Amino acid sequence: MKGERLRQKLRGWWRTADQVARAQATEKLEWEVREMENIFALLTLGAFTGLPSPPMQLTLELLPLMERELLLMLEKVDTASDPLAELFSTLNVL
Amino acid sequence: MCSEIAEDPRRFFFFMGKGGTGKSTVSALAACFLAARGRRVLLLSLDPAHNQADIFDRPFSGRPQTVGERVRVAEVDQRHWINRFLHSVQDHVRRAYTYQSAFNLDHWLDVLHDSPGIEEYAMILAFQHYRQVEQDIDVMILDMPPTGLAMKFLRLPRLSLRWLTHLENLRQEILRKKEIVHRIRFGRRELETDRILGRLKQQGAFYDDLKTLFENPVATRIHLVFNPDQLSIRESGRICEGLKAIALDRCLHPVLNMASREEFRLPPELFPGRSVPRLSLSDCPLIGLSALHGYLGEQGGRMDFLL
Repeated sequence: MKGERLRQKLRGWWRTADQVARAQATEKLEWEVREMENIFALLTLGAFTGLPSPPMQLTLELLPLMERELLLMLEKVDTASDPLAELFSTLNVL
Repeated sequence: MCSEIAEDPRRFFFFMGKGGTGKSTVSALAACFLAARGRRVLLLSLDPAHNQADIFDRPFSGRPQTVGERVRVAEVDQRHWINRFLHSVQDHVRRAYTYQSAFNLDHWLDVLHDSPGIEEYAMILAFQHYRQVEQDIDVMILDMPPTGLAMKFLRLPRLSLRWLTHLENLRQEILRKKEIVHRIRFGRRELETDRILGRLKQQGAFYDDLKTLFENPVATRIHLVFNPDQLSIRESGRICEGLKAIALDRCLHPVLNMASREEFRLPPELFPGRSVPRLSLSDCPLIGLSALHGYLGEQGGRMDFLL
């Protein structure tokens, strides 16, 4: 009985440690994906931000599917004034 | 789609050139000429400032109307195609955005009516519609707007494809990285399909089909109508360069219109090595079907270049 409980605890610890390790391993990649999604949104919806943009109909065709990218762009507005802080937090500096 | 175009027996004759050179009249003459030789013709005016109603001396709409044996004419209502497109976007936005009630979509769409690029897209949508619906014709004659808008129309598929290729590559890269993240975090592949990539591919196929059609010199002819005067000739030179830049110069067929002076010599560098058909100035206004047929009766032989 005791052995079984110990085994379950060990399995729980292992699962948590595994999840933490996996999250750490993908953290930077996820940050990169977010950046790329932001670039995608900026390229596609550039007309709204004053950047060179694709023909308007391409933007309008994609717009209904880009809720996530739009929100990401809005989030970026908050961190845009302090990009170093964002980078340091991603790279775990200090 | 490429093989579909190769198998499609229909021909698409675009008539373009500087404003006032007689594109609409030559289009109407071409339609009557081809119909008289047994072709089933649809003459479609894509020029927002339509002239076909004046030439045939009767009103037209978006629904093709028979004006003579085997000839039908329609004038594209640009506003209708812009509205149709913007309303489909509006419906998609309403369905997709959970917080859409915050948008005043109607007001937003009003602004988009006049946004750059919408005009040529409306022309593309209209062209594709008639191309899809009008399967029983032999020739579609397209009376184009003056140079600027006509060039934007012809350039749109190529320009859109450049953007779409770039966006699709970026999207593929994002999805590849997302899949790696997913695999590391959850230990399996992400099977969800990306709707944005799907839409990009769909758009890519749409423009690729158009680009293939425009670049096919058998299916597509771009008749450049010009007059024997300096301004028209200079603009024609620029049109040639523009068409060359988008690889459509192989489809180019120049037509000298209102060539009252037979001795007029074209600058040799304009269309090197090509014979340019000449249509002479009519003695009377070419208004009404009988006037058009009258002109063809006298000058019809000069239009053999269309066959």
